[in-house]
Amino acid sequence: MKSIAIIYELFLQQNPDPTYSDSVFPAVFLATFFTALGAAVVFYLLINRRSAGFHTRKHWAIVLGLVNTLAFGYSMFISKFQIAALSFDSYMMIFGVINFFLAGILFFLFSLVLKQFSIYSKKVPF
Amino acid sequence: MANIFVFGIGGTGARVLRSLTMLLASGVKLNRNDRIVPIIIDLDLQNGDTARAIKAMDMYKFIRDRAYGERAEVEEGFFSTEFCKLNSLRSAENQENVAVTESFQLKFQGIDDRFKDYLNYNEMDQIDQHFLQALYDDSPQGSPGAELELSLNVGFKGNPNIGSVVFNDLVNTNEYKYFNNIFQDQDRIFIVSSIFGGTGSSGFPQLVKLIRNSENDRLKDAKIGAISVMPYFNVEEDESSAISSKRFISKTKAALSYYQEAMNHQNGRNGLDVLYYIYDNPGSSPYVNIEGGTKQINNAHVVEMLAASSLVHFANLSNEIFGTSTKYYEYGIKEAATALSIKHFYDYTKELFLKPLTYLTYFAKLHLEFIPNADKAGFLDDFIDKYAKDDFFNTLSSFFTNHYLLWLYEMKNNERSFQPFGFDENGNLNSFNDLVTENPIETSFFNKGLTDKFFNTVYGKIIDKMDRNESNVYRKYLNATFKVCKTAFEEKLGALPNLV
Repeated sequence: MKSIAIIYELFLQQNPDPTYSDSVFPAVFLATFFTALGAAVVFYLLINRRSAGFHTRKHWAIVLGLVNTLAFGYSMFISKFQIAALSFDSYMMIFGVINFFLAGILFFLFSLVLKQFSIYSKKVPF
Repeated sequence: MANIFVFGIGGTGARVLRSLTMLLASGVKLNRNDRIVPIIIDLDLQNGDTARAIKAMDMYKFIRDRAYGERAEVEEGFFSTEFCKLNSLRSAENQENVAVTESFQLKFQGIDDRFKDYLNYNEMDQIDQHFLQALYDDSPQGSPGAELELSLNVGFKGNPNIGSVVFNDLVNTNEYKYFNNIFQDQDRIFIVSSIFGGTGSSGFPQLVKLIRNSENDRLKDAKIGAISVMPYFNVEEDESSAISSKRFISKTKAALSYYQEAMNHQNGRNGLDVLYYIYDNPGSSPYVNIEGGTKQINNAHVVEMLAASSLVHFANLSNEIFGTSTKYYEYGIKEAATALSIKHFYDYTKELFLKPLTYLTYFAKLHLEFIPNADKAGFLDDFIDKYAKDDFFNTLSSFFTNHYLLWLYEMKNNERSFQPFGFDENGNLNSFNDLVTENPIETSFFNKGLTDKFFNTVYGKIIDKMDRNESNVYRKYLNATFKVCKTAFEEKLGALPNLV
């Protein structure tokens, strides 16, 4: 759990509230990991082994944008829910942005692994 | 692999060979996987129709050799039949080492002269000169009836009596000597000529005579088929021209009565084995009367395509059918409509020729419109990367644009119009779903017919199943696209239209 917190705390100041490192960061990371993996599996192994039509870089970028948006959104909401805050604060916003990029990186890495198993997107994103 | 030597004599011979090129490009199958060796015999070396036919054949050969390599047997697919130039054939028996130019065209010597020079008229005794004057018209050069003064470099201008003299010299050409040397047991010969002109009607019987009198027993006993194309067009009447449509029928009758005696097997195998006839009512819109040269470019005609199909019929005949009697075939369609489409043909023609032509037309559209606009995502990248910068792909584009589609468009625009595929008012092919005339693909909310998505999906699946070690991208392209076109036909079009 601590190691997951380190990933976020590389870019975020350590929050005095231990809830972040104990439960928010691990939960958000797991959700982000599986969101990126799930999106890559759906894109490469489900859609792009079945038929063409959603197979280009443009379509990959749409999925990437979706993964990023989801990651940004649920990082904010999980934080607010776990901390039991009444509103979003700047820490949550920065955390959301970092998770936004982390989701993108994970999706990119899964793409590199899974693209070779697809039929229609073997060279997507490159 | 056996050879079929196809002699295309005169302008019609060249135009039929042009059509044959299109049929073979579509993947029309020869049962024995024979190699085609086209030999165009036309004294009119500048003839526009001949030049177009040779260009199309050169392109076919380039595409085929790049994709499959020379001497490769290909089971099925576009450009699967090998086109071979005479000079590239070798045999152990060919010891004479005769020099033959690398060309699909046979070269006569001394045809830049007038007919009288060709005969050495000026060196003859006076009595011989008078004899020739009695046989041939000695009107001055340029007059419609000129024979002795006729310049041979634009052909015989409808004078078979001159052609038959010149063609006697065929045996002395390097190409004929070479052909005589390399002919093998399993090889066959097919001769394409018109019966109503000069070059074809005189060259055809002379060529058969030379073959049957050959000292090479293999050639002497060769299986010979021929198609004699009877009048199917008229030319504008022009008093200054040596060519007149009014004489087409009488010349045809005269030639037919001669063939009846001279071209049958009589007392053994001394004539033709198979003779095909084709004719069409010439109609009321004559071609421009051009006596020869680069300007003689006639629109392609469905009769030429059907004449080309007779070669495939001949190639597919089993050896048992050849005996001591000549077989005759004539071509017929279901209904002589002015505008013919696929439905007017019998199943034999539809299955063997029109279905492959549908595949090739899909290929033309895929190659010219789909591939250059396809997204790079992996499965088509090999083709997209080479599309604009590679000789093979450029030649294929040129073949489709300047030859195949033009050929289809010309057949559509001829008086006896043949429109298997639809064109819009700008001369572009219709969309995939409306491509086959009178047989549009029905679409619905759930079935959009032949779309980019469909082609991407089928291409991807086919390429995924292909040999991953296939290093020849050209062969991969032809094979994959052939399968894509076949799938499109079977899954979306279903069948070709029928006459109701």
